Amino acid sequence: MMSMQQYLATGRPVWPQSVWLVILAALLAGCGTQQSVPISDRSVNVDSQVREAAVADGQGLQIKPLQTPGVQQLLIDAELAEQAGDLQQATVLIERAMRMQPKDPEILQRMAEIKLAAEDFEQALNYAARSYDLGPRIGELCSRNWHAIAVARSNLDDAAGAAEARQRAGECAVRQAERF
Amino acid sequence: MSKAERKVARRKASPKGRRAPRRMRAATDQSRYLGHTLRAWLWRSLAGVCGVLLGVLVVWVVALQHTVVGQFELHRWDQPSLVFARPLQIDRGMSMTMEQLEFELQAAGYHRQITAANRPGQYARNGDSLQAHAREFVFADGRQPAAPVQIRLSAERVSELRVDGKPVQQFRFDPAEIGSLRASGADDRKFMPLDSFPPLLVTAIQAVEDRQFKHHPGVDWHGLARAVWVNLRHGELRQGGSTITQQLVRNIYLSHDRTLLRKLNEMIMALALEQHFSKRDILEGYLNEVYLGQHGGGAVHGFPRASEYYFGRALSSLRAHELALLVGMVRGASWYNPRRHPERARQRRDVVLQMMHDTGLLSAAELARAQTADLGVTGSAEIGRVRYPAFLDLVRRQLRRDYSATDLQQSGLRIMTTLDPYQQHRAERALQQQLPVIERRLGSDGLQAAVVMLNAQTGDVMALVGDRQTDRPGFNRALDASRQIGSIVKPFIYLQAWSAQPPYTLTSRIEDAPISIRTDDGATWQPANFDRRAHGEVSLLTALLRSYNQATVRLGMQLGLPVVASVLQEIGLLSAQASLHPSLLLGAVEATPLAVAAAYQPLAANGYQTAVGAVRQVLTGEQRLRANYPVRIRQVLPPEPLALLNYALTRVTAEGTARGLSAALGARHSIAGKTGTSNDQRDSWFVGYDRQRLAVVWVGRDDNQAAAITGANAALPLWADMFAGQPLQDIDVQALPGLYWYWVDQRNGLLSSADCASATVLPFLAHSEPLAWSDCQGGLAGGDAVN
Repeated sequence: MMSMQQYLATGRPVWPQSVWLVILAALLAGCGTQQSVPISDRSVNVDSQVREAAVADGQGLQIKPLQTPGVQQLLIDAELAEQAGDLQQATVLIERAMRMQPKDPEILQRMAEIKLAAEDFEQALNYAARSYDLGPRIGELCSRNWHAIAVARSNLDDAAGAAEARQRAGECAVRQAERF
Repeated sequence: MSKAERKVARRKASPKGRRAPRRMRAATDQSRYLGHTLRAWLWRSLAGVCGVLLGVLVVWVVALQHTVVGQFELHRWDQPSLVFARPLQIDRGMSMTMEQLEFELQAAGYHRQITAANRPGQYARNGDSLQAHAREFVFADGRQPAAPVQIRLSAERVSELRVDGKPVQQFRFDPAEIGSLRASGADDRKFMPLDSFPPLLVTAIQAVEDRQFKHHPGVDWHGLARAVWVNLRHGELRQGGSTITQQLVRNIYLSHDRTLLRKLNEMIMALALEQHFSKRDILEGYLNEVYLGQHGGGAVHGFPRASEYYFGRALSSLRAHELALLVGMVRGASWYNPRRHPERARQRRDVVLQMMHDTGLLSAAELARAQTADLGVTGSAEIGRVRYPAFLDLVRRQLRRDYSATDLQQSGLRIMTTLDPYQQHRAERALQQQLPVIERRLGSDGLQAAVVMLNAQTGDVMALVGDRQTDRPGFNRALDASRQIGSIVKPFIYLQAWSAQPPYTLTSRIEDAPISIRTDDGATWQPANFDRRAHGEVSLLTALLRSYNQATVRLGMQLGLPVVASVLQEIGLLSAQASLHPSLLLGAVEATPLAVAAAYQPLAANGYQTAVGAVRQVLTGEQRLRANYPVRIRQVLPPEPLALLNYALTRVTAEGTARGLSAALGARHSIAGKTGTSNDQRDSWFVGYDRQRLAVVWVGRDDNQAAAITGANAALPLWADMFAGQPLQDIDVQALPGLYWYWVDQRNGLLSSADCASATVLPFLAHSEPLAWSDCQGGLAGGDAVN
């Protein structure tokens, strides 16, 4: 499969149908949020501490990995399980996706986020670092990598490391080159 | 003394009785009275005895009922744990050959049909498209219903995938069952839900064994009376009259003695069973439990196992005449054993077929066809053979940490493993076919071999072979043969050099010349090269490509033995207690093939180590997730120096000691690899990996004698045979992270212009590129090849 190390620097998904999948995922995720466990019950809130924070950082150029539709479906299912509070099911589904595309940085970051939610901070750190190693190292995914690392480090009592990671997250934004 | 007797005795002793003879008339009164008393006494005694008997009977019935209900419940869950391969995951667009697809389906027990797959467990192939009817299966992440699946391949890729007629992006087939964990000599059974049994079998068994099954309360009184009448008239036992429920009771609880008491117990238990369980439960229990033969030390129970035992196939694939044979054997599994008494079994089968026709289950044409068919049983028992003994051994060892033997053997766990049946087949075939060829070519004999194949990113063991006779259980060389690893160790030394501060580079110079080292015990150690020559000053790249011993030892001593030892300890090739002799720089270290695979795994995964394992999940008998074994990762090697190493190892297979690989694969690939040969050519190793899979092959003799083998002439051809014709995911050296590419003069490792005759492009880590320029002028210098 060619997809592993190929990235599109356009910010546009490769397959037309993946647009719909992403929209569907967003809609489904939205539905799921209303029924999910109250956020205060968890010590780590992946949505606000990692994902939304990254959206704020990750303006400008976006780099999206190429995923097969089968893997995309699994990630959507995993998201639904996560929103429903079933972390074990979400883990099993993300592992399935990872076995299909083991070097996909998006999947590795999703694994890091699920490990954060499950409070397995050491593995969250390792997965986020691996995602960064294999990923684009700029844009939103880069920012999610560093935010996840920051949350993991601060939970592992590494305040200095966490601060450094938060700073690295801020450096992920890359301005799009002006076109003439 | 009973209550009635005590009363009588009291009356006898009463004064009234002694006063009676005073008057004559009293005599007749007295005799009348006595008769009355006696009658009353008799009646009371009888009632008393009856009461006692009834009491005993009630206790008896309750006890029997308790026993049979408990036993039935117990039997439903007393199942050996089943082990499954990884499921075949079909993703639209993935690379796949028809050979591989058919192999996977057959491994999972699918049967090829000529025209169409109509039932779960069947498939039909037409050119590039394949239609299969997938079975229902409960995975760790949910139940997947049975469904028709259509797959079309074009240019060895899945171009079309439909489930239930609708296009889908991915599908997962139910996995192959690769074994069961049962105690040796224990009974063999395999539970199947009622709905999965072929409908013809379910109706035929009732037609033959118990036509009133749906209506009777556990005992068929009419049938029993008829049987008794027939038996009395003929003065011999001609009809049994046992219902399916009674037979089930006999199978799960009672002995097979033919005594009246046993018969009575059986009837009571059958009535009790019917009161507590539905007809469906009872029929399901019966079909899974009925005795159908003897195998090894244990009995073969139930139609699902019997089908595998006699036909080597899944029950769902059996045709009418094969089902009829099994149904007929219920009457006497050893008397009608088709392997020992084929003619007797055939007659019985034809009687059953006739009954199936009489009850409308078979048309006249079907009957005629079925009665002319062969018995179709396999020559020997298929389920006696363990297909993947080495892999199952690994599964057992991994589970032993978390489960007791009783749990594994009796609680019906479902163990989802990582075995890839097709890769396992390729590994086994390579040893079976190529090892004799290698022995002939080398004039060697008595060679043994082991293979470990991993998904390098997840640590999943895809294939494992521990013996050249691949289905022989016993000594598992992949896990237990600790052998000298030879030059397999060298990449870790070069990796140390490229990680050092300041780092060495690919072009750093090192002397390949005789070296003597004084060891801790005062001796002098003088390593030689394989070709007994010294090669002078060479680059690190060349020293690794050619696997030069003296250069490597010199490099290792420059780095420091403790530094090299620490990395070997980190990746598990050296124990912490091992004494540090410089010979470890040449691989005078013992390790098993599995340990070598685990050591190389992080090299193929950007420096991230993950535990090597064979079990993904364990589900309970009720099919709930009991344990998930997640992939845990840990960074153990620095990614940038590792990128240099990966670049160097792809050149090893292109032009170094493993250059035979490209030729053997029939095409040029970018595969990382390293050969290894131990002292006196006792051990031959090859480790190779692409972006997805890593495989280790070891060849040697069990008695550790010299065998004239090298990494390149024994292990490497086996590796190549395993992967020949398979899609490989080449390592894209240009995409390796953190490398900067420069033109350098390969004679001296200095920067050069691209048009210099001895110029080559090599990667460097950031800020490690040479600063000086070679005096090489475009097109003037001749220069050696890589050196």
